[in-house]
Amino acid sequence: MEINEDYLDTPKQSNRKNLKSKSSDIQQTGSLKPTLILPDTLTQLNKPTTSVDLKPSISVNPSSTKNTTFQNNNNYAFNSDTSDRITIRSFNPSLYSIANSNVANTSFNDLEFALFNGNKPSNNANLNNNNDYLDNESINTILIERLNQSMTTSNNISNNYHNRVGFNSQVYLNSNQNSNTSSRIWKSPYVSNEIPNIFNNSSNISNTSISNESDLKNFEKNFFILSMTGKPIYWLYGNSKQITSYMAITNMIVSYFNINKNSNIKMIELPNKNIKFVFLNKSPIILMSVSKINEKKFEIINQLDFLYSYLLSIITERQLKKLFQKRSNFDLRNFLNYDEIDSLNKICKLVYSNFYPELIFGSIQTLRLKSHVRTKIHRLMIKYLIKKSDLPRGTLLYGILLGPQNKLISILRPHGHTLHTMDLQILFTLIENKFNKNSSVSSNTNNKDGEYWVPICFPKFNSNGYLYCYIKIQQDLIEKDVSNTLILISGQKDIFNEFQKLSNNFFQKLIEEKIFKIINNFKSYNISISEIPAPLIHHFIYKSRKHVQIIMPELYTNKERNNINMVSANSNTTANGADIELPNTERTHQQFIANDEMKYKIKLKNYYKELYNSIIDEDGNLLSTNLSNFIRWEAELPIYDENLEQSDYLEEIPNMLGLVWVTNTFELYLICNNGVMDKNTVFKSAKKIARWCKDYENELFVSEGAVF
Amino acid sequence: MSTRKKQILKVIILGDSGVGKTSLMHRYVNDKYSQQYKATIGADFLTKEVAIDNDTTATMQVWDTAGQERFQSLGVAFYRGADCCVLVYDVTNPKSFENIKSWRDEFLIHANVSSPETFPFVILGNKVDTKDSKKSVTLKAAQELSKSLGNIPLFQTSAKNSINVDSAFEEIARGALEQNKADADAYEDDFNDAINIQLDGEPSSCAC
Repeated sequence: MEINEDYLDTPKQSNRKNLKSKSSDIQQTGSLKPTLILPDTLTQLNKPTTSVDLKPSISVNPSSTKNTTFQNNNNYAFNSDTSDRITIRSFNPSLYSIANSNVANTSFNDLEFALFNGNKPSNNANLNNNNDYLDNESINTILIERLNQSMTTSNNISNNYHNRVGFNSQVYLNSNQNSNTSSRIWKSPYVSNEIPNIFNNSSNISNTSISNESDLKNFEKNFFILSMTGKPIYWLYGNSKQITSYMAITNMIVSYFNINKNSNIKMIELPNKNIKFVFLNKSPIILMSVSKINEKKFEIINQLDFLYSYLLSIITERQLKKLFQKRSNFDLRNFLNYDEIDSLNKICKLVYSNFYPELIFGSIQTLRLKSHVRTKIHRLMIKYLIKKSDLPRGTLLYGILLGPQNKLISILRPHGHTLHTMDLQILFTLIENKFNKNSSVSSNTNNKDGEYWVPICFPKFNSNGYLYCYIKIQQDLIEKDVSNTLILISGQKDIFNEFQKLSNNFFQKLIEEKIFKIINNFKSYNISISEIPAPLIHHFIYKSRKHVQIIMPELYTNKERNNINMVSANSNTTANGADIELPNTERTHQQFIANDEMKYKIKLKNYYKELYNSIIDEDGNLLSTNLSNFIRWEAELPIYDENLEQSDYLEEIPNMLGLVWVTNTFELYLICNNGVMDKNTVFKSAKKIARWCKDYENELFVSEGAVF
Repeated sequence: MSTRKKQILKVIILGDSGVGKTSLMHRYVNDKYSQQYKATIGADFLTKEVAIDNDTTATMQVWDTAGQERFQSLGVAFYRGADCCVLVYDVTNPKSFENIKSWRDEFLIHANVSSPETFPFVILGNKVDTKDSKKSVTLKAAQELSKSLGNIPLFQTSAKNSINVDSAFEEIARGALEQNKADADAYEDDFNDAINIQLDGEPSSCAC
């Protein structure tokens, strides 16, 4: 993965020394000294260099300007562009550099050549002379027409994004200056513990997909998997007839770059239409995603990689290669059954329209647990899964115990071996989607118990073969909406019975030792923002870099949901245990809570994504392990939505502040309550959170696991 | 394995420039014909649902390639994974008829099909609506060619007057479907790879 460094105008580190502010009243421990970067100079800064200044700094981030819709990425050159230009980004350096304003046409010609001509031009000048038989008309008919027409929703997009133009994330240098600026809008700043939604566009996702036909262009986001021969394998939305032709074109574009340029095309972007086509070439299959929802390239690639890994967990890479080597016209859809398609659908929706912080931050979530309890579980794991087992050493490779919401409690592993984060994500997602059938809120408290024996390929562990997983899901006897999962992983495929015995013994012990009572108790695993003395903070995500694990306070709606479920669990079960139908109102109420929860999650996700995007480069790498960044989202004026005019209530004016703080050991992302202006207090709170997480590290994270 | 889905059949149309590949495709897919000649740039893709022998339906993905040589560099990408290949000549153009064999060879070289002997081709002699005086390729010559290439089905078609187009494509679909089915059946027992684990091997790198 090579990038032309000149192309990155990441402002984070260079010249920082010159820009230090003289006065700052934020006091920090140790050598921490805040540094401020003036926003005006940001755009002039180039080339991240290893900074001499190793102190964390508060750099202000022009996270949004009117046109770039909250992204401080490098597309300024194109955003002012009003023509239908296609910009090609590729990891091939020569192509990468052409993604600069005035040579954008060159890259366009690359695509022309992909479809119209075979001779690779020796240089740009030649290229322009050679293609005299090509005119703009043919470009439009072939490419724009096909990619674009099948993907663009008339004018809806631009309207959507106009909404966002009203918001402008402003940057304040320090508290003195910011009061000037803000008084223009907020005469008296107030603080609220509700957070407003400023990302109108992405909350509409579900509406779009429901209200429209299956026409491709109606979807703001779509995923495709196709074979190198252009045959569709999987798609999220759309009708097969349209998809079939569309996949052939996609294949042509990817093939061109493969054959003539010996490189993999990564992205085609139509900036003024706000569409990105992102490709992931995993010959013999290709994955592609179309996005109109302001996602970054690396983010989409990450999603595609996750999707690919998930596919590999079903069909190993070796099988894929073998199948297509023998017969390139192979139709892979024959190997995907309804269940698998269904879980692919869920994965796609999970990664773009749900809050899945694990993928964004490349981590897994752990369950908070008193460290002596975790140690005890580890001991029991070793004892009852390894020592008291008469299976030969090496039969059981890994044992994983999951708590409520599939958060990790403990891992049993051989010395010197660990599982890759993405493999664990895949495994947990698979369990959630495929086996935990009653996980949705609307379903009643039916029994979730189950035992499964599944071959799963862990792509990062070994993409060429399967490991066999015994999965036991057991509902808690008291907390009916909570279940625990034990996964035992082996390389042998015929030891279900043995594993069943092991797991029964182990669970029996956990019950005897009253472990379930502790791990499934909401009060015990709940992380509440109120127990940390961190004023003004609405929510945070803390990632321990060492553990590659994240923790965050429970979303408040979860608690509410728990209560509701508890009530319904008690009320709708008759004496003999038979379920009775919930009354309609009850069900509607639950549905309402679920919707509310989803909206809230998406709100949070958007804020966190912006925070995260501000600290990474074009390819998703951290800019530095030593920085901090405030982002403010605010409305210039209250937005009046015409559709809502008849309603009387006025939404809170968004004035949100977020902070991301990265050090060698942790990453902390936090979102303040609406209306918070006082950055000093926020930073103090951030330090308190960081301190708290450090103090409770043994309780919050799984460090070694049970090693044998 | 799983329930079989509606097959997707990749069909490639090859032949010299101007023999009527695009017209045939449009006649078949849209039942339309345009007098105007417009060279295909690169490739065109059309999709049609087909019913074969009343009991099977499939989705046909038709790749209409450009006959002009300068568009041929992407041959591999075009031909790879095809289920059927349609060779078209113009009955008024002997050169296009002579080239049928080289189009077939070109396809076989690039497509990398596993068994060239059984791969389904179909030959179409297009523009049979023209006056007999203008026809320069005889039916007999065509039959001989089709026989020499391994009894390739031969159709005399007219995109303009819609002669034989539907029956030709039905034959194409049937051939493609058979080819596709054979492939699917051949590899159903392939899902049995376990990893050979040795515990004291090299440690992988990830923290948990």
